[in-house]
Amino acid sequence: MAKLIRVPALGIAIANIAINRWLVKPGARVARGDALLEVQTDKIAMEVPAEASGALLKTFFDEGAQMAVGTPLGVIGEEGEDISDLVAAVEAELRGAGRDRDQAGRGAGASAGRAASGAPRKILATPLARRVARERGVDLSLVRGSGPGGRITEQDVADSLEGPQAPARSEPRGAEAEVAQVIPLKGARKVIADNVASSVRTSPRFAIGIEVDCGRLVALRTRLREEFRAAHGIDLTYVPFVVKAMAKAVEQVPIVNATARDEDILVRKVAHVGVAVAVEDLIFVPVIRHPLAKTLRQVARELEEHIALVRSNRLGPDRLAGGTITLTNVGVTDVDVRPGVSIIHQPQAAIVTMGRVRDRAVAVNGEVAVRPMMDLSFTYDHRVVMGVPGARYAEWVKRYLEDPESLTEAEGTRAGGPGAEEA
Amino acid sequence: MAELTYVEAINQAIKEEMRRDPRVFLMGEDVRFGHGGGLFGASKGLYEEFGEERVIDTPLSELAISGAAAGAALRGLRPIAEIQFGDFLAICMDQIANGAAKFRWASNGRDGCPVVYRAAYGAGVGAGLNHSQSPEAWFMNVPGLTMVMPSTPSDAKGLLKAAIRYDDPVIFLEHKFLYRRLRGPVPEEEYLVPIGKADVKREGDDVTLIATGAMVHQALAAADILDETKGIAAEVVDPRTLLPLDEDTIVASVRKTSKAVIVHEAPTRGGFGAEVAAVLAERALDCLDAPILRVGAPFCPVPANRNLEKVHYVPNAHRIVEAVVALFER
Amino acid sequence: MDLPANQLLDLYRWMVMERLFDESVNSLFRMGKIMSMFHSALGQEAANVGAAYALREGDACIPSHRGKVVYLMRGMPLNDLMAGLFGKREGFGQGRIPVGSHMCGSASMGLLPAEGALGGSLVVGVGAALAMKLRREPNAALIFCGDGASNRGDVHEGMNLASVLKVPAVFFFVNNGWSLSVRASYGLSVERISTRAAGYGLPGVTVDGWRVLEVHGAVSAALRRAREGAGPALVEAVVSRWSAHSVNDPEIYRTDDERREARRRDPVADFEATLVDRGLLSGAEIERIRTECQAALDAGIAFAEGCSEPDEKCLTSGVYGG
Repeated sequence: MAKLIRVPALGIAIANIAINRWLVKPGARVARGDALLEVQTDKIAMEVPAEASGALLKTFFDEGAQMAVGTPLGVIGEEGEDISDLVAAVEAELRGAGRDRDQAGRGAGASAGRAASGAPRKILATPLARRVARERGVDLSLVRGSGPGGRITEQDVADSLEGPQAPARSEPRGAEAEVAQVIPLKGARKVIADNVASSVRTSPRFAIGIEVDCGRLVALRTRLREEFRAAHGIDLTYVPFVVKAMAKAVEQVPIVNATARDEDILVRKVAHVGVAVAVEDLIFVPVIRHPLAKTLRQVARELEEHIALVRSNRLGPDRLAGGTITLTNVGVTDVDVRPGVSIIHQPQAAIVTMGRVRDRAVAVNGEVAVRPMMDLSFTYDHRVVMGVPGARYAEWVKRYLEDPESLTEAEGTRAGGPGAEEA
Repeated sequence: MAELTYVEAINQAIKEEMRRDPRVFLMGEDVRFGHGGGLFGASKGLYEEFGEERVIDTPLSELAISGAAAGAALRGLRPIAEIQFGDFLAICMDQIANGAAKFRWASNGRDGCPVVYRAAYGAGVGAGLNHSQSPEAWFMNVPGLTMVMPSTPSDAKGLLKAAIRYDDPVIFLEHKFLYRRLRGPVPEEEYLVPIGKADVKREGDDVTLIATGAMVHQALAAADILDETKGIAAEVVDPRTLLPLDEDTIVASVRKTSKAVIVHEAPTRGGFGAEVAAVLAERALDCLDAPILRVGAPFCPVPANRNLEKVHYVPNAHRIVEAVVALFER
Repeated sequence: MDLPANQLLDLYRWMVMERLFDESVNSLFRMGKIMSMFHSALGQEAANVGAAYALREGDACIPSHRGKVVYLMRGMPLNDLMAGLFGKREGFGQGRIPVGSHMCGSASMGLLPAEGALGGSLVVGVGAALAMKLRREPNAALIFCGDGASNRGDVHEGMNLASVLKVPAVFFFVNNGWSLSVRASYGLSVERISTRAAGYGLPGVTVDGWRVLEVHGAVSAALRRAREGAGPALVEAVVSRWSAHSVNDPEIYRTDDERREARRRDPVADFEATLVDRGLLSGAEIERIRTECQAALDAGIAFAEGCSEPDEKCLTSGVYGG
């Protein structure tokens, strides 16, 4: 019976050996215990005795070859014995060992490549939250996390089952090679980011633009401005006029003052206009409630208060709640307001963008005239507002702004003041 | 119920077991006299009752104490080997970890080594860096070893009696701060506390505090503070036997509370708490609603200045409260 | 020579077995068969056999890592020992321990396990001797140690403790001149280890380690005194290490002359000659003893080859009792 001889374990520190010389010629007989070959470890030359008696039928390595402990060395058996199967198996083993060595080098590269192409988006949630979400069929991407770093906890999942779904988290982008700054997505910044992302996912949008001839508005404002400053310490801008125009126009086209819900659209009677205030590179949208029931002066004062509160970080959540439609003013900058898609402030259905009043050459009665013009952009949630009502609303806002005295007539005498019932 | 100090309970355990089994004997430095029965009084009255062959003073030789105890155990006796300070277990590491712990396995499970290595460990008494350590992490992964760390007088007595009757080597860690400062009820009748079984010292639903040794009392104090000031109900689990760990009791508690804080006196890095945390991560991952936290000493030796030791080194109830509050932050 | 003839022949037979066993394991090791460390005892047959022959029933022994015959002398069947050396499930140790090297304890055979850092076992032997004394057993512990290991801290603590507690232990130091590659003349702070005994208040004696009767006489006397309650003693047997430290040691630290010098004396041949001179051994008997020993070895090897490999259960069971 043929015996396969392998390189023996020759000591605890010996991993590899080299063959110095075979001490038995191929085909010659050897007795168990006789010296079969001489090997060299890193320390010493050593004779390996034959562990079986017989003829040395095959050797797999020659003098000088280096190999690890356990490598097949040769076969001892009877003369004429058929050892072809054994030899084939050994050769297959030796080929496989060679392949493994080559592949070990390549493996590292593959996983590095995978890492470089960017990991998939991850949601941060505790294991318990994940389990509960799984069990209750909650989509974690729609749950707002209140734990550190926006981690979703079990309570968050439980909360999400009761209230409207909050914006999902996205994984922060991996740092670019040349990073100027890494701004943590936390607190207000995070809330804004979440909100705008979610808004875009929620509302299919379209936009309408309209230009407003502000000739009479400019005159009225100029006239009231000094009075407001002297008597009330208020700096009157165009914003209060637009706020009131928006609220008044809602009475004509109420559908823009609505919220899309799962099963229905909730249309509110009264417009409470949120006006976006920028501070550093954050935005807050404090709400002017019942602007129609307030005088222009009251609206103007409230706007100033809001700005002061935002700038001094003292704006409370009560001021941010209850808006039904939003105005954002880019008039402090030089940008043009073209009819463009803006981010709707959920769960509203419309947002209006106003810009600077600027002189522009327009056609008036067939003649070119230079008129002070303001562009307005209206972005709507198309689930709620269709093209025609959207256009109509824009026209009504324009009409009121072009007849600005209509916006000041309600100084304190309007029925349905603050506290008037709403939907 | 009797009221005993921690060291009195230990003394009683040794006395009772020596009366019960003539094979039990005590060997170590200063065990006959010391400052009144050892350095801390643990062997008080034993020499007077049992004589020189059962209470053996040794020269200053931790290797000889730990190795000879193993040899005597192999030869049929049940020695209690006292290593004066837990820190000195480092000296005995070879005889305990390489020797005693492995003898049974080396004989295919046949010949055990029933020796109890008792050592006074722990900080808070101003004993400094070489007389105050908590050495349990050094031995946590030695197969064949058992390690016990009682926190109360009743646990100390019951566990020591059980350890002396145990057929494998046990490292029995006694907190030197608790020796005379902690009093507690101890049953008068014969009783044992089982090795390998944890104890829920206080029940609660909101967070599990796994605490060892003297830290059990800090955890209980922290639980009071959490309850009164934050309305958080903490459950305090005392493993009692560190190796092998009663994983089931600890896991069941965290399954209930979904939050875990592990408290031990040794530095957290590579410590006992790391093992518990890994067990929880493996067995209770889906129950965890927050990261597993460990509260331990900072990664430095024990300072000699007693104020520095008390305020900045030894973990206390307030640090535990801080950790728990962090788990609940939104 | 006051031993009866049968005991003299016993001694001789064990020495022959020690020699042949060693050569056999040397070859087997280089075939990769031995699942243990191997340190040759060539040249130390008189020291090993002379000392171990002095043990009585109930005594305890911590053997050296050099020399396998002590296990046979304590009653271990050769097949068990050989299968254990092969690391087989049916052998001594079940594949768990480096058989013949360290950790080979067996209460029933009076063998104490020695843990692997040489010198660490001495204190365990002292503990066993303490137990014998406390239990009033008429026994003693024989602890083998080398000249290298004699420098270990445990050794000094153990001798001191044994002395102050007056336990029945005999510390048998085989001084073969080498601690791996470090000469005893360099590493030992004394010329003879036996002089250290006085440092512990113990009687100490140095004997010629090549002469089995001298070794046996000194160790017997020491063990007898110990059993009688006179306390511990130290016996040092001086030989020269014939072989390299291990099969893997290129012995770059020794010259060929030194190696030749070390092999100048052959304790087996010497004792053989002594017994032949006394008419207790004939050439035929020498041949017969040799053949019988070899046959027993060959049978042991064949038995071991046929045994099975330990499995996972052999690995993880028995870490703790009950």
